Amino acid sequence: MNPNEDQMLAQLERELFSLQPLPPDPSLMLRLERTLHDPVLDRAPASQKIVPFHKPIAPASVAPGHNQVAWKPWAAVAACAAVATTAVTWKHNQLKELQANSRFVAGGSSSPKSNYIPRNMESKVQGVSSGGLKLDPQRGLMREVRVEFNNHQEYVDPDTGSKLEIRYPSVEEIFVLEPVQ
Amino acid sequence: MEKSSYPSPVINQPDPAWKAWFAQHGSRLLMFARQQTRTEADAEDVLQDAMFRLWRSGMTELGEDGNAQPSLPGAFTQIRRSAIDQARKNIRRANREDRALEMGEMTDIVWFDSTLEQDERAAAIETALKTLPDYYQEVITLKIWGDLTFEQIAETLDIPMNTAASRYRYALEKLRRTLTPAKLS
Repeated sequence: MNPNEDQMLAQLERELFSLQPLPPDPSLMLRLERTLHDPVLDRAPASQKIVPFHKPIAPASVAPGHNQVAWKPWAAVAACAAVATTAVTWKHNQLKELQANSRFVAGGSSSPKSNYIPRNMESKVQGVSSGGLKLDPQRGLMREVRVEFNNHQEYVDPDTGSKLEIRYPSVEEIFVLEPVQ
Repeated sequence: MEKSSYPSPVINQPDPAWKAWFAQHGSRLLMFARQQTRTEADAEDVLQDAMFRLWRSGMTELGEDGNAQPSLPGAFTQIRRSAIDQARKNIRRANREDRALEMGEMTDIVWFDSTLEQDERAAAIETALKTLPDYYQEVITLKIWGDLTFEQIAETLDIPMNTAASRYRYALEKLRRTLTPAKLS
C-alpha cells in the first residue's frame, strides 16, 4: 500500500472527525418528549411540511368561465368529521376552530363567484391523526394534525341542474397545526 | 455489550436520563437520519419514529456509570429501519415534495455545524460525501460521526464486518480523489 496514500487518507479522516454534525432543533426534543408522554397520539410522526392542497382539475365538460370550482376542503372535512374513524374524533366546531387557528393554506381555486354549488360534501374523511410537534415562534407549541380524505365531490350547475362530478385521482392528505393546550 | 430490558414505565414517565442521553447523541443520530433521507423534516420524523421504536424495543446497554441506557447501535439500527419504511411510504408523498421543491419550500439538508472559516471546506466535503453511493455514505457516517466500531456498523447495516471495513476504506479513497490533494492541506 502506498504510504503517501495512507497518509493522505489519515489526514482526510482527521478532517472529517473535526466536522461536527449540525445539532437537532430544540423543537425535536419537545417532539420526542411528547412522544414518550403520549405514545398513542404521537407515535405516528407527520411531515413538517405544510403544503398547498391539490388544485382541483376541472372536468373537460365544464363550460368556459365555470371551470374554477370553489374548493372548500374544510367544509368537506367538517361535514364529514363525524365519520372519522381513528382514535382522534373531531367535532364540527373543533374543526372550525382548528381552521380558524391553523396556518393551513388551502390550495385550489378560490373563485368567489362560482356558479357551482357543492351539492355533496361527502368527501370521505379517511382519518384524522395527530402527528409531531412543532415549536411556532409566535404561537408556541403546536401539534401537527393530518387529515386524510377522499377527493370526490359532486356539484350541481344551478342554471341547468346538471350534475358535475369531480373526481380527484387519489386519497389526499392535508396538514394543519393546532395549538397544544 | 450487555442487553437488558428497559423498564416499560419509562415510556409513560420519561426518565430525565434519556434527555441527557439524547443531548449527548442527538446530533450524531440526526446526522445519520439526514444521510438516510431527503429532507430535514423527513430526517426529524425518522429520528422521532426511531426513538419510539427504540424505547419500545427495550434495546439498552450499560453506560459508563453502570446504568442501563438506550443502545446507541440500536438507535442507528432503528433509524435505518424507519428510513426504509418511510421511503416506501414516500411514493405517495413524492409528488407533494416535488411541488414543495418547485415552490422553494424545500432546501437541501445541511449536515455540518461549521464556523465561518470552515464553511467552504465543510460544504465541499458535504458535497463530496453526497456524491458517494449510499452504501459508502452510511458507513462513513456511522464510523466518523456515529462513533461506532466496524462490528457495530456491520450489525447496524446487516453486512459482514470485513465489508464494513472495506467500504470505509474505499469511501475514504473516493473522497480523497474528489477532494483534491491541494484542498486537503
